Amino acid sequence: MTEAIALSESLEDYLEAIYQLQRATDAVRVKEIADFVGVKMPSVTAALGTLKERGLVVHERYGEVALTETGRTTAEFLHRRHYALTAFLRDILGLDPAQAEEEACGVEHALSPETLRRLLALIDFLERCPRGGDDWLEHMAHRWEDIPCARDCAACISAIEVPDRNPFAARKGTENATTLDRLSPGMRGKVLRLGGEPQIRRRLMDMGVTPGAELEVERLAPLGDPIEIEVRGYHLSLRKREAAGIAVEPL
Amino acid sequence: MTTEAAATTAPADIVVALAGNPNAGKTTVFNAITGAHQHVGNYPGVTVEKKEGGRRFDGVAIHVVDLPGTYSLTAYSLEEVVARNYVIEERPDVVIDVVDASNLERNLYLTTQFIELGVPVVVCLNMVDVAESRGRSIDTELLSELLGVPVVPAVASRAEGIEELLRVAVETAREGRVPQRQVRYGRELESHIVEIADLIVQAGGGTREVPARWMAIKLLEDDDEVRREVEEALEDGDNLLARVDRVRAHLESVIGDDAELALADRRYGFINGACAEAVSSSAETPVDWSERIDAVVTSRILGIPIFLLLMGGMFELVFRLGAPPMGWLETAFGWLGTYVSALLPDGPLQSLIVDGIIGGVGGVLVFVPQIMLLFLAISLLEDSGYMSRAAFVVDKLMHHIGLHGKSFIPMLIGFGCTVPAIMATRTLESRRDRLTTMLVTPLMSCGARLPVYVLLAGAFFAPQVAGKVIFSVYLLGVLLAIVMARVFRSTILRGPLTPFVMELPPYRMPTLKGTLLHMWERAWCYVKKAGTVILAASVIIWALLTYPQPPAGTDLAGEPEIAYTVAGRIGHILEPAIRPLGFDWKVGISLTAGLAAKEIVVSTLATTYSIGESEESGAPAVREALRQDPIFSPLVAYALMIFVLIYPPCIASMVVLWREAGSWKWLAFAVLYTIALAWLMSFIVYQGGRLLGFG
Repeated sequence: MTEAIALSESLEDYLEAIYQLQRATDAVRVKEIADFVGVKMPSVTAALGTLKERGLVVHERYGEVALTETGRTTAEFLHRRHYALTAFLRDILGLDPAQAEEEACGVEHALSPETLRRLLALIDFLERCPRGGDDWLEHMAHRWEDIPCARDCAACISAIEVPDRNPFAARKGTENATTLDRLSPGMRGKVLRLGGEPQIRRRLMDMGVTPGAELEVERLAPLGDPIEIEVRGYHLSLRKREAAGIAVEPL
Repeated sequence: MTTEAAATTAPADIVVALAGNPNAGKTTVFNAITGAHQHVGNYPGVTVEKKEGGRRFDGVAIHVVDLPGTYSLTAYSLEEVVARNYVIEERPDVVIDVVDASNLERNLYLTTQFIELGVPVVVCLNMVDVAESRGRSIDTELLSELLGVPVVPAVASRAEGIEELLRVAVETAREGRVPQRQVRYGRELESHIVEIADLIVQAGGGTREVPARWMAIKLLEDDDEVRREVEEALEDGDNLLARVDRVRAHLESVIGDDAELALADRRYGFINGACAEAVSSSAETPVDWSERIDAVVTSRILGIPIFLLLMGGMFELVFRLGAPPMGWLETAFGWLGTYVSALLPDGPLQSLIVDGIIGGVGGVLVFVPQIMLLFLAISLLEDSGYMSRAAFVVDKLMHHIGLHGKSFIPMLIGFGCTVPAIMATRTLESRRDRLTTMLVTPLMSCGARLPVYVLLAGAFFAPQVAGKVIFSVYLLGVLLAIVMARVFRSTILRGPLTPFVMELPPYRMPTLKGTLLHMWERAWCYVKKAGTVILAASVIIWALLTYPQPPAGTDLAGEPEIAYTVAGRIGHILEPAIRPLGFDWKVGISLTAGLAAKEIVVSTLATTYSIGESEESGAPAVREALRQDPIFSPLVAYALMIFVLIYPPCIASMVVLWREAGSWKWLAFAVLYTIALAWLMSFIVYQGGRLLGFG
C-alpha cells in the first residue's frame, strides 16, 4: 500500500488505465494506453519505464504491457479508491454523477488508505443503520441537517458494530491472518475471507460464517476431525478441509 | 374427529406453508397445528418428503404443507429448491416461518429470503421459553416492525401461542399482506439490483409471484435455477446473463468479495440491526447445559465410548426388544394359516391363501415392530440432538470411504435387518450419500442370513472354527461395503463431497407426541408404500415355487417335486452359470427361493433334499444330507455363504430400496450389481481355493 502512495499522480493514472484495459482486452499495447489516458505514445513509454523499474509492470518494447502481481494489487487499490470516493460524493453528498466523477479524480491521489478506510466505514454505517439507511439519506438530501429521531438511537448505534467490510479489510489483517483449521480449541477469530469450493462457500454464508463474523473454536472431534466452532450464538461443525478455506484473524 | 378429519379432505380455504431451519421446531409446530390429521407423501418428481395436514380454525379450513427444513432458499440443496419452488409455483396463501428464538440471528436469515420473495409471511418465534431461560428477552412488537412482518411468540412443545399464530396467519392470508420492508443492500449493490431488475422487466420477466427484484438478487448470487429460467423464458436472456456476469465481475473488483458474499453479509447486517434493537440480554449468562453435556459426550476420551454405547443400545433396542413381537406376529400368522387350512379343502386355493397370501402378509408385517423401534430410537437421537454429535464423532471414519458421518447408522442397522436400515438413510441430506449408503447397506450381513451360515458352517467346519468362518463372512461384507462405497462415490455417484458444515443444535428433551407420531408415520409409510409390493412379490415367488406341479404318476427320476416347478426349472437353467462356483441345480433352486427371504434358503434346501420342514428335526437332517452330497465340500459351502452374503438379501429390502431411491432403475442396478459381485467373489473363492488345493 505504501507503494501506491509513493507513486505520482500521473503514474497512478497510467496504472489504473492499464488495469482497466487489461480487464477489457487480452493484450494491452502502448497505443491503447495513450488513447485511454489522452497523451502521446512517447510519454506512455517513459511512464512505463518508471513503472517497470518499480516492478509494477512487465513491458517489452513495442510489445504487450502486463501488470505484475504487485502492480495488479496496487491498481486494484487505486480502482477501488476511485470508485468509493465517487460513490461517496454521489450517493452521500448527493452531487451530480459527472461532477462526482470529476472531483473524485482530483481528490483521490491525496487520500491515505486510513482516511479512505474510515470514509468507507462511514458509508457502510450510514447504509446499514436500521434507523437511518435510505430514509435518513433522503431526509438529509432535503435538509442537510440532522433529523430528530424518536427512539433511543444511542443504544441502537452502540450495538451496531461498524464492520470492517471495505476493500482493505482483507488486507488489513493479513500480517497475522491464518486459517480456521489452524486455530486450536479455545481460540477466537474473526472471519476475513471465504475460499474453497463454491458449494461449501455458499453453505458457510447461509450458516452465518461471513466476513466480519466472530467465532470461537470449541473442540476437535475425538478422532481429530471435524472441528466444532461457535458462531453467531450457535454451534457448528465442519471438517478441517473446509475450515482451511476460511481466512481468520485471531483475536 | 369426523368434522376435523373432513378438514384434511375438503377444499381448503387457506393454504399455509410451514418453513424454517432444521432444528427450529418446525415439526413440533406442525404437530401442534394439525394434531394427528396429517399424511406423508413426496413432492412430485423428487424423493423429498412432503407432509400435509389440516385444521379447522375459527370456521376456516386450513391446509398446512410442511416444507423441507432449510437454512436458505438458494439452489444449494434439493430441499431448498423444493421449498422455494413450492412457494413460487404453488403460491400458498401465507408462509409461517418457524424461527428458533434462542438462535435468532441465523434463523432470521431464511426469513429475509421470504421477505425478498414478497410472499405473505408470519414469523413464529418458537421456543421463547428457551430464549428466556438463557437470559434473552425479545420485544416481538419491535421485531415485527423492524422486519416488516407479523411476529408471534410461541412454545410449540406446549402448544402455547398456536391459536394466536393461526389467527394472525389467517388474517395475513386474507389480506394478502406482503412484507412491509426490504433488506437494503447498500447503494452499490442496490444500483445494480435495480438495473438488472429493470432489464428483467423489459425482457418480459418479473411477476407478482416471482418479483423482478428477487430474480435480480438471485442472478447476482449466480443462482443456477434462476439463470436457467432467464435463459429459457426471457427474450434475449443470453444478453441479460452476459450483463449480469459483467456486473458480478465489476462488483468483485470494487467490493473485493464476490457478490454472493456481499449479499449474504448485508442480510446478516439487516438481521443484526433488528436484533440489536429488539433483543435484550441479561448481564449474567446462565449455565449452558448443552455445552456441559458436549464437553463429555464429544470429548476426546469419552466421545467414542459413549457413541459405541448408544449405538449398541439402539441395536439391542431394535433387535432384542423387536424379537418378541416379531415372534408373536409369526405365531399369530402361523396359527391363522393352520386355522384357514382347516377351513379350506386341500388344494391350490388353500395353498395360495395359506402359503401365498397369509404367508406374504405375515412377511410384510413381521418387520413392523423393528421399524417402529428403529424410528423410536432415531427419533430420540434426532430430537435430543445427539444424532449430529454421532455424525461429528465418526465423520472422520466415514469420510475415508467417501460418506457422511450420518451414514454410520443405516450401516449399523444393516447388521440387524436391511429393510429398516435402508429406511434409516432418510437421515442423510445429500442424495448421493443416501444412494451410496442404500447400495452398500445390503452388504452388511443381516440377521436373516445367519441361519444359512450356521447351517453350512455347522455341516462342513469343525465346531471350533465354524464361528471364525462365520465371522470372516461378516468381515468380508464390511470390507466389500467400504470398497463398493468408494467405487460408487468415484464412478456413478461421483460428485463433490457433501460439506460437513452442520449445526450442532442444543440438546433438548424429545416430546412424547412427536416421537410417537414419527414412529407411527414411518411404520405406516412402510406398510403402505412397500408392503403391497412385497405382498405381490411374495405371492409370485410362492407361485414359482409351487407351479407347475407334476401330474400324478410322472416319473421324476429321483428328483423332488420342487424340481418340476418354475423355480426348479430356473435352478436347472442356472446350473451352467453357477457351475464355476461349485454349485448345482439344487443350490440354484435355493438361491432363487432365497430372493424372497434368506430364511427360505434353508427350508428350500430341505425341500430339495426331500426332507420335512419341521425345524427340530430339519436342520440336522439337512446338514447330514448336505454332507452326503458329493458336490458339496467345505470350499463349496464357503463359496455359497459368500454368495448368500452378497446377493440381494430379500424382496422386502429391494422393494424398500426401490421406494426410497425413487426409481426402479436403482432397484435394477442394486439387484444386478449384487448378483454380479456375489458371482465374482464366490468364483474367486471357489476357483482360487481349488488352485490352492482346498477342493
